[in-house]
Amino acid sequence: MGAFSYFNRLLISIGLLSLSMIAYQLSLMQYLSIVQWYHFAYMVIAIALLGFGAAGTFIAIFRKPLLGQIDFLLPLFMLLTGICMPLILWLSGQPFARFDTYLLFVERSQLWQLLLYELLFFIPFFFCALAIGLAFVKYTNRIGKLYFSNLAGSGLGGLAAIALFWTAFPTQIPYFTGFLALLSAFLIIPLHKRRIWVISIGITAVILIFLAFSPPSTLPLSQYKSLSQTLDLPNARIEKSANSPHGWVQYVTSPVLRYAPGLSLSFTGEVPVIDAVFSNGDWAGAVLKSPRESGILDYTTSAVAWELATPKKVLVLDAGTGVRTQYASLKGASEIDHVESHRLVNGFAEDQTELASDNTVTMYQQDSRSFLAQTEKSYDLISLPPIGAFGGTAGLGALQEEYLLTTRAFSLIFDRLQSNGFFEITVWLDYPYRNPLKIAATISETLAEKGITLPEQHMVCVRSWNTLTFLVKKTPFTPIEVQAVRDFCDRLYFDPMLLPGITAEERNRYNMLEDQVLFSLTDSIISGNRESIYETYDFHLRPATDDKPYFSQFLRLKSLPHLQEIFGNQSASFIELGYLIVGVTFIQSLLLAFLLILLPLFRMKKNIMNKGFTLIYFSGLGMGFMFVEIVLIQRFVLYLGHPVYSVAAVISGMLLLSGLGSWWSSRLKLSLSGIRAVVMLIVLLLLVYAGSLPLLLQAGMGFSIWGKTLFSLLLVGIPSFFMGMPFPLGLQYLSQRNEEAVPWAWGINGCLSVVSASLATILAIEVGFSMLMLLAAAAYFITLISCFLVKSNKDIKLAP
Amino acid sequence: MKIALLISVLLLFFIAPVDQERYARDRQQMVTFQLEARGIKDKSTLTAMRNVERHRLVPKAQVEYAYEDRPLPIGYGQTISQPYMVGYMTEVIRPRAGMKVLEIGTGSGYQAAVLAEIVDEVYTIEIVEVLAKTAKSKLEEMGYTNVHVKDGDGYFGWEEHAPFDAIIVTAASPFIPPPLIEQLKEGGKMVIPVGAPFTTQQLMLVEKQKDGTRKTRNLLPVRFVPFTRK
Repeated sequence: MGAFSYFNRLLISIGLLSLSMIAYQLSLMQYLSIVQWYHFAYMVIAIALLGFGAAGTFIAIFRKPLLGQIDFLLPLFMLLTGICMPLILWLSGQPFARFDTYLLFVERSQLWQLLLYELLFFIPFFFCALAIGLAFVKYTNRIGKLYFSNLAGSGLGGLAAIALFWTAFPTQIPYFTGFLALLSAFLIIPLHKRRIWVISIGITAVILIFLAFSPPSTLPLSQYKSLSQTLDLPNARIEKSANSPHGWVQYVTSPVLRYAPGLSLSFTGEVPVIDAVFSNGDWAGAVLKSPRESGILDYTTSAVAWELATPKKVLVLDAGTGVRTQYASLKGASEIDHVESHRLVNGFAEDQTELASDNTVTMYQQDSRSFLAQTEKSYDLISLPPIGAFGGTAGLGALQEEYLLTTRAFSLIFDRLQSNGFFEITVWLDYPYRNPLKIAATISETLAEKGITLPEQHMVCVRSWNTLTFLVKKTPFTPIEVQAVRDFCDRLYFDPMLLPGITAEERNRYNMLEDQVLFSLTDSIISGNRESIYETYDFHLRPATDDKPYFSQFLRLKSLPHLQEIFGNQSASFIELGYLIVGVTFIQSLLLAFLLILLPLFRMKKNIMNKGFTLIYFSGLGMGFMFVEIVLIQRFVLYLGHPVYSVAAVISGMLLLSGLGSWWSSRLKLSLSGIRAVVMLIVLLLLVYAGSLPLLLQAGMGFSIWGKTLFSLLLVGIPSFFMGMPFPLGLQYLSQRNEEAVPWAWGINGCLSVVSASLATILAIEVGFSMLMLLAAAAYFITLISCFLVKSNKDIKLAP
Repeated sequence: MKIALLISVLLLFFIAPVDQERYARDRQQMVTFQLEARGIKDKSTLTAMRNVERHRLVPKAQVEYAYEDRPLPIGYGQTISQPYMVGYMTEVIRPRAGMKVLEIGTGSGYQAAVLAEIVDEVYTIEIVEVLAKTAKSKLEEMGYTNVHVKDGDGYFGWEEHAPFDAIIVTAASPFIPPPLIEQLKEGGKMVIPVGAPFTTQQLMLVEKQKDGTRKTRNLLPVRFVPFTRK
């Protein structure tokens, strides 16, 4: 085996290892979404990058001994990566390492558990990065091809993860990815003691495959997940379970599961027993066996639309398990469009209810926003899913993009109404008031955009003891309709909150609130005094937009002292958990990145020339690349209809095309001025994207799925191709001037990537996606500036 | 050897009483600083909370935090409520001797014990079997003969012993089961928390008025127990 063939095998090996690692990373994100909450996705990204950064430091410090043993160490690190992937997951579920997000509120020791949890997950990434990093350092002169192999493998890893989600359970996937990592080791085993290597890898591979089909661990769900609590009920059973990129879904039965959200106190009958569907351990919906059982909704605020009219054409958005669809069918609608993007949830709705055989119902497996963009139909009633959860969500939804709750979505919904049509949305009452106020604000801004000058004539809101249903009509409500609402409220002990001609007394008759704050704030919002409420209220009430689609993000940092004053030690519960976790992840990443990456490297920086250039050039790249990645993922959630497809398309697309860019760059004989030109081009491209990407995506919203895929690849690919060049070019440039700076540069890049992953999320919430793209352009501009800081002015021609 | 034995015997005699004294002191402080300072005035509620040994009802790992001003996890996604909330809910139903109270969601058994100090009979239902058994044995051990624990679905209430003067629902629920309203005496009071676990929740009072009307009133933001059903 000559050196050339070894290098080719190494290229395939690095590609395979990268593929396994990205697939593992995505499966870990799903695993943590299941056992904890999806916010841990951010943590996983940070940990992965931290592993890469720390490995860079390790290589920088122990460069000579590591390179001396590289033939032995490369396959060893790959082997360890493969073993650690499932092993770490198993260890994290053991009692000594168990962590529970909810207990962060009450047990300080959980912070240490969280740290331990993170350190465990760090290990496989560290070994993987050691293998890749060593290969980079050893073959810096051929970095373009190696980087291509790394990025292309990573890109394919995204696609492999999607395939694995459809075919394997969350507990099985790490064994499969571990097996792939072993294969990568097998490709480059050294000649020395070859038989021992083959036997070791072979035995480990057999064990992994065996365990993949009979995994030793079950999913250690948090006791506070809805699924855990439901399974504690008598005779609760998981009847069916399936995995998919949308989530891990269970169909659960129990004789004590009942469904009647916000039931009127006047109801004296039997509340129906239901089955339930859970996705990633969270409640996904009730399953009613027949439309008759949905009759219980007659006793909830959501029945108000049906008191005023008998809509014939009904659109049910984010229809879930079909409860609202069944209700529309029960009430006599003749044409019902049921739109739900989750394939498994849709499947349960079809299999377990009578929806599929109901000829008034057409089921669409599609994202609601895409449906709204494509349909030309108009409806008598459009039903949106309930907002929030019973009693709130402890801020767990704060970081969830909710594109159906933006002003643009409401505008599209309004446009799809018949001239006398309604749309309705039910909100769980929270305290302090947030969800109902933001919905009132979103509706008011939509009506204002449509040129309606008397919004109070077009809005009705009915309140029970724990829910509010908003009803918006295209034309003003008539006196007969107003009276019908009053009768409905009297019969069911509900109170109208918004109604043309409403009196103060009738607002607080059956369900008395402590004060009038909810009413006065809603009135101010509707009457046009919104801006002052947005500015002065303790929580974010400004409606979500497609640029900042975080409807459930209410926290305003500047309000914390005031909340602390009012609620004392209870104010912790207002620091929305989702935001808190990203904040904690950011601070931890910052500290750990400093400790594990930068601090050790500063020890050896005296041997490094052009420190300023190296530090700034690779910092800018790490930050810029991550910012662009996060913006593209978020933008494509709306375009492709689901976060999983967006993550897969963007990560795969970016990495593959960056890999191609990297490969291409290795053929270029670029001087420093050439690098400047490439970075300048990236800055310009990102500036163009910051302004035009939303418009481009909107224009392509109506494309078919294949059209959308191609369009996505094009939009993601163009900047990615060029963004793949500066990193290998920079490393090559350094290696020819000062080889010792190479691992330092890699470490800096890793460090900034770590910090930027969570920083980008925080910035997206605070300033929006367009601004974040501008900041990405600024980061690349900083890299550009660094190119002017090189002390030795001799531009070295880079080798091909 | 002799000295070690002597020390052991002395420890046996002294440690337990010292612990008891410490817990009694903690309870007194809990009542003074967490309840009275926040406006709980009902004498029978305050006396009951001074008497009930909360530390005996929490899991071993939580004993040292038993009298702290916060809820504590007791397993199965449930918590033992913050002392103030137990005091507040107790005071709201205006408990007195001669009353019969139904509790839905026994949990640790602490709320039932506090009620048992004041009213004649407490009927409590817990849907998680393990919690029901643990609470029942601990309450018996502590000598509460007027607390009746049932392992079952709180949805149906406890019809054989209805009607009740008051009902306390300790686990928040997205709907109020109609049988509970039926089993509440006319003029009776029901309290129920509304909200997600460990967050600020509303405490709601449901009143069944003599003319049959049912009204609700939101009382104050509270932190309470997570619910066990959707």
